[in-house]
Amino acid sequence: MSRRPLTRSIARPALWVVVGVVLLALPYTVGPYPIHVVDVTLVFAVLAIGLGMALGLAGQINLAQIAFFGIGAYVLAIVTTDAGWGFWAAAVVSLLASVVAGLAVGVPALRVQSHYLGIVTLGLALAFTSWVTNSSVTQGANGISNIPVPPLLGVDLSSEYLYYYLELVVFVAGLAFALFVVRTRLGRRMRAMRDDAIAAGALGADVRVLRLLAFTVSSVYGGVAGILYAGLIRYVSPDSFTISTMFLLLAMVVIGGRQSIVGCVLGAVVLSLAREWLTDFATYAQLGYGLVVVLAVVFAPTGLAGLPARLGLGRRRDGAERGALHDFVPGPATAAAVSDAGPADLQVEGIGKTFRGLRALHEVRLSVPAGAIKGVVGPNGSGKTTLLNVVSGLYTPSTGEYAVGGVRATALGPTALSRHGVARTFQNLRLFADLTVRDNVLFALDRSRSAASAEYLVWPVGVVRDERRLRAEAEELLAEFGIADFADLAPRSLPYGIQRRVELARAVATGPRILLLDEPAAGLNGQEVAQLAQIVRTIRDRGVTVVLVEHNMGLVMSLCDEVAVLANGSVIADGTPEQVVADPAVVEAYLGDSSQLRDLVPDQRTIREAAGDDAEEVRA
Amino acid sequence: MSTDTDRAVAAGTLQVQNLGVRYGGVTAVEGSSFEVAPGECVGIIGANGAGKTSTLKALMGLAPRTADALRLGEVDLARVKARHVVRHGIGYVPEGRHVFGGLSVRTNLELGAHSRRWDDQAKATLEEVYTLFPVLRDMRERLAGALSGGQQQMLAIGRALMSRPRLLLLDEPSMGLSPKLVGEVLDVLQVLRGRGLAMLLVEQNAWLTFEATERCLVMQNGEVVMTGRSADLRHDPAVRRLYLGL
Repeated sequence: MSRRPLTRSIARPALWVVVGVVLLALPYTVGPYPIHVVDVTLVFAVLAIGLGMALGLAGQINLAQIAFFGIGAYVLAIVTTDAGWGFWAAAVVSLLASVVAGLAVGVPALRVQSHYLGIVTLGLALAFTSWVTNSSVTQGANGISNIPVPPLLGVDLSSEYLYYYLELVVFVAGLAFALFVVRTRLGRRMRAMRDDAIAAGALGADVRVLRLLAFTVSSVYGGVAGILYAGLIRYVSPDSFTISTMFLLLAMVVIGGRQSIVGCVLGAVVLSLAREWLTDFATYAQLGYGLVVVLAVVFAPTGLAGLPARLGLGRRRDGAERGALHDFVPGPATAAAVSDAGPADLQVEGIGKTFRGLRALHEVRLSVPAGAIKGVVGPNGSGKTTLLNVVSGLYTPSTGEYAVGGVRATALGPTALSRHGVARTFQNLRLFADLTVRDNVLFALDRSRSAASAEYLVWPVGVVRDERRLRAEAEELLAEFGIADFADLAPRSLPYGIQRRVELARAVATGPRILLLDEPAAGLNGQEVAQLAQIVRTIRDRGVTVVLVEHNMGLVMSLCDEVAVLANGSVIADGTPEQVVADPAVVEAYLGDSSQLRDLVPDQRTIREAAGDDAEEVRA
Repeated sequence: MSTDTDRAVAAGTLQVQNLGVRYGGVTAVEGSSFEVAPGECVGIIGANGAGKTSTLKALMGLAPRTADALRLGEVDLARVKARHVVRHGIGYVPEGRHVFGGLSVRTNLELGAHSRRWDDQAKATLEEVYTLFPVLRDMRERLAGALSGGQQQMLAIGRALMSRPRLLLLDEPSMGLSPKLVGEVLDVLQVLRGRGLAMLLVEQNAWLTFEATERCLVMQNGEVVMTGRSADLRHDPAVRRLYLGL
């Protein structure tokens, strides 16, 4: 669902019309008990959407969703009965309470992830269950009854038939909002963070804000579901908010397909109905859910929503043309991507970095003039990548300072540095594996702040407009980088060299003033290296400083204005390429037997021409 | 084994006829045929996406494959599951090394021999690997993840050797290595070649490929389009253009 371009999300209108008619006509076709089941199902569907947003979209294991649900219901019950407030005023209070709980539960996610986060959130959910069972405010195991019927313009919502329509409106609005988020920038950021939080941070997404947002959104859905539930049943008790209900909810999301919001709804419908059919066999039902979840995880990890694709239905790709990596053809998109602020210089002043006593960098001094291409070479393990990690904010240096574009940057984190114009690629490739190539580039093109996501509520039209503009830019950039053929594919299905090109396009898309490249030529053949040289040269000419960590001496020699050599964490040589390769210390530490250099660089001029010239020269 | 013929039969020629690899609807390799004789060192060269890595993975049973023939001597590899391929004498050094970062160097090497019994012969093989890569002996109690890229590459090759293969598949052993270490990898490959180990080498470093192999397959769009002696290909203008970017 998330792989489809925005325009297609509105496709298949006929299906939507049919679904719409069925949903509207449903109350006319069922008896009083079935409509009750349907009403409860809708509550769970809203709840599952919220969990799907945290768990599937943002990758945040949230086992406290049942607590958000419970807080929504209980606060409403307490405020309407004890304080005597009206239903809707109490609903606002209880929604706020859920959001506060969401933020509180989200805080641990800033420090721990994956199963640890699961344990923490599970603990919080247990704490909630324990509190409602034992507290006098919640009237313990007896629960709270006499919750008033929500008044609505004279409509009698004590009728479960009419209540259905209220729920339907809320559900459709919730679903639409979720799909809107999924298909626009916030959803893309959350998926990117889920796939690789380090890369997402280094490319300018504030991971902490995104995690809190994920829990907040999840808690809003939980709170809304709780309010609807309290209004429907008009009685709350601890039995409705137990851990086994939490696992039922989890099963809904897993079976439905956690990476698809529609899948979460499907899962909620299927399991709610199944639970109803199995009420007489409650014990075995629990066992059954467990079994089905295990089967789903093993045989259909993408859930019901992913089944058509796994069975080879849907869009058939048979006979699809093999995509080809095209030549880089610089154009307006590449020019537009590069920051207007101009190239930034990098000054590294005595940087040291130790890892538990192991000295990786020692007193490194390095100067990269604005607009230059500076090579950094050195033996494996000499600290080149550590240096890049320091100046891109991933590591805090143990000693020393560095400045980018005249601004002291030592204390800035990766996200702030990215906004300051530092972009990088990674030695082992850190593409977002479950996003398409297009989404990888879109993610980087989007320079809005995650904290400004209030725009989704205040002015959604602005979000749509931004999205359109970004998509147009992305198409152009993909074409200019010669990777348009792969736009809809996941990066991991692509050969290494093509992934490298995608990563480079993604780094350029952030609009850098200085670009740090970590072994961009690894795994490329000569022709592809010549293309890389052309890309790097073009980007530099557009106004970007480049730092190139590389072992391909042919590339380093032909491309770099200056080369620094690191060995054992210190700079042992710094100068023009010719000076550096003639240095005996460099030959000893790094180059070794130089016979391969002769073969790699038979004639400097040819590479320069091939790299600098137009594409005709390079095409074999 | 008394005669050369016996040895050839025992070692076995790798025969590949009409190999195809398809991922979903995407074809990676199509109609690819080649042979690797016992003790022969063959390179595969070609652009990214030409199907080189997929070819190696197909031989190991790690990629969905079809073939008219896929044999190593007497063994029909098409019927052998990936986890058993290693027992038939094929060692694999995957692209990007893939050492077990959380385990010690020694454990990594021991795991390389898991298809065999841990007996005196296996211990002797471990000694041989340590002799070939003294740095691994020095680092044997370190976590593999703490090694530098070059040391990890040595470990990946050493791990593959632990199964005592007759044919070694190497995928980009020079990727990410300094020129000096590339030279050392070549030295290692030369030693192995001298011991009569057959090799199939996928590599983007032209110098290393041509130095380490007798013969090269040139792949394009999933097909082997040309085979030739490495010494000749080195001077072939078309190959130089494609491979060296000249």
